Amino acid sequence: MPEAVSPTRMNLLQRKQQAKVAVQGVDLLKRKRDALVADFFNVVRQSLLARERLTKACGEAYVMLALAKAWEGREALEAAAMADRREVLVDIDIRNVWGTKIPEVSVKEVRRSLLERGHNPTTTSVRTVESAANFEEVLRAILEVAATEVKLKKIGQEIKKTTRRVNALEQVVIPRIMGEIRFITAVLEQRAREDVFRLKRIKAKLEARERIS
Amino acid sequence: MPDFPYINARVRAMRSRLLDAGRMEELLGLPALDAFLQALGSTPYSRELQEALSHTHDGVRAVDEALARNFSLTTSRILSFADGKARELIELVLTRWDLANIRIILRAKHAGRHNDEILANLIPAGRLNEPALKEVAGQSDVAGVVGALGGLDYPLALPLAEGLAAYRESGDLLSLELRLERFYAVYGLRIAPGRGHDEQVVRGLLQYQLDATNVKTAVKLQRVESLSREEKLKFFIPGGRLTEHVFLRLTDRATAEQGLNAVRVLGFSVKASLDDPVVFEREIDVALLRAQIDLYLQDPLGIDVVIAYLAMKYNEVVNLRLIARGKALGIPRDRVRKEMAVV
Repeated sequence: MPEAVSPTRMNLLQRKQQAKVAVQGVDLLKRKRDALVADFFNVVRQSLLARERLTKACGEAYVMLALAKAWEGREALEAAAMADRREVLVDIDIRNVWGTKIPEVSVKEVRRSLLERGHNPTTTSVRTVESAANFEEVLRAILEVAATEVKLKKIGQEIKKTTRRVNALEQVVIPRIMGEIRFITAVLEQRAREDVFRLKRIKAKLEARERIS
Repeated sequence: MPDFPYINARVRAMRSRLLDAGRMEELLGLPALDAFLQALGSTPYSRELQEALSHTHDGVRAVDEALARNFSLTTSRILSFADGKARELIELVLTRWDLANIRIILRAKHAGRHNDEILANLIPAGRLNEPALKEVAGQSDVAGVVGALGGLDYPLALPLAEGLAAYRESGDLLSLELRLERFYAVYGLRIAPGRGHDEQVVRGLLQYQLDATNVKTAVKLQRVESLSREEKLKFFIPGGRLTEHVFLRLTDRATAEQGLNAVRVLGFSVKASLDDPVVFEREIDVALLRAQIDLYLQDPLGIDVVIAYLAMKYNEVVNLRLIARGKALGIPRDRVRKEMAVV
């Protein structure tokens, strides 16, 4: 609503300053968005590779598990699985991309040796051991997929937010400021013209009064 | 006096109900799991399969349950024919299933699992029948399990009772399990000490099983880095013909080939390389299976027939489980056929 602004020279200067900052902001945000988009596509490639690795690992792991279950029996596999449970720890570092905090999840080694798994080598078959190893590979692949997809989500949200800000600046804020500038300028120009006209009238009256006297 | 002529006559009749290679190939050629379930309905597993399908919609689970139930009934039937020394020897042959069941219960209690989960995974095929296993599995912890086994006067409770104090202190279940495995070997060899044919056969089988276990253990230990000689020997189960020396050679990649030659001398015709432990272990398992099945053509009045039949029956169970999983997961037929042990 440009009419709500007091048409003063001070406000005009302020609005001009605001417009300058807004244009600079748009430029910065666009550059940030470009950087995020470039990062996004890098992560998309990583994510696709991680998904591929996960699909492959799952395929191998489930076939090996099925064969192990058939050979050893569901019972032996269940018993082996009961042997040991653990927590899988991941490291999360925060990376700053144009002021956006993006989590970098790094997966520690999840593969364990036979004894680390708590398996009894005298009763646990190689198929079970291989099956456990394959599923550790699946776990690593899942963590990789999770890590890349968390990053993707975060970057995607940031791109969306930045685009919204750019649009808001370009479509709303800058047009409003430019409108206010135009309004103030128009009012000030009108005032200047009125002043000139008024001064000319006064001058004409003064000259007429001099001629009469 | 072992009454094996009578037992063997009954077992031979039971053998005629095993699925032959042609029927197995037919089942393998079926297009999907549903067709397999339907076809299995026209085999001796029909009743158990119907029972299993009445409470689960998971086809593979139903097949597993039906096969386990059928195998359990088969072993009970064979035991019901026998008494005296014959029964004692057959029970000894079946002790490997008791061992497996005890191991499952111990691990479940160690991990704090629920009773229903445990019971669903047991195959009551040995001396510990279903009510006994329920009683044991119903205990709240490892100490309770050991107490219940002792209460049932079960011989394998002894090593567990001896190792219980150490387990309570350290929480190390692996040591308790190893104690159980070692005692099983000693106990088995003590039950079958005589020079009679049946005892010799059972002793020979037990030793062959111990050798197979030790060879497979040694190959697995090859992949575990930085184990000392003593640590490796902790996993050696004495009682078989394989010596500690050969076992240690097999655990070391550098000397494994020499160890393997000694294993071949023991009767394991292994061709696979040690680089592929899955194939290697399969060859050992098949050699053990073949050795048991070959007993069918040995003494017709001895325990040989029972041992061979049990091996054939369990082999059939394994093959049917493989086919069911092959159908459920869409594993190529050739891959399943390769995994099946047809002896």
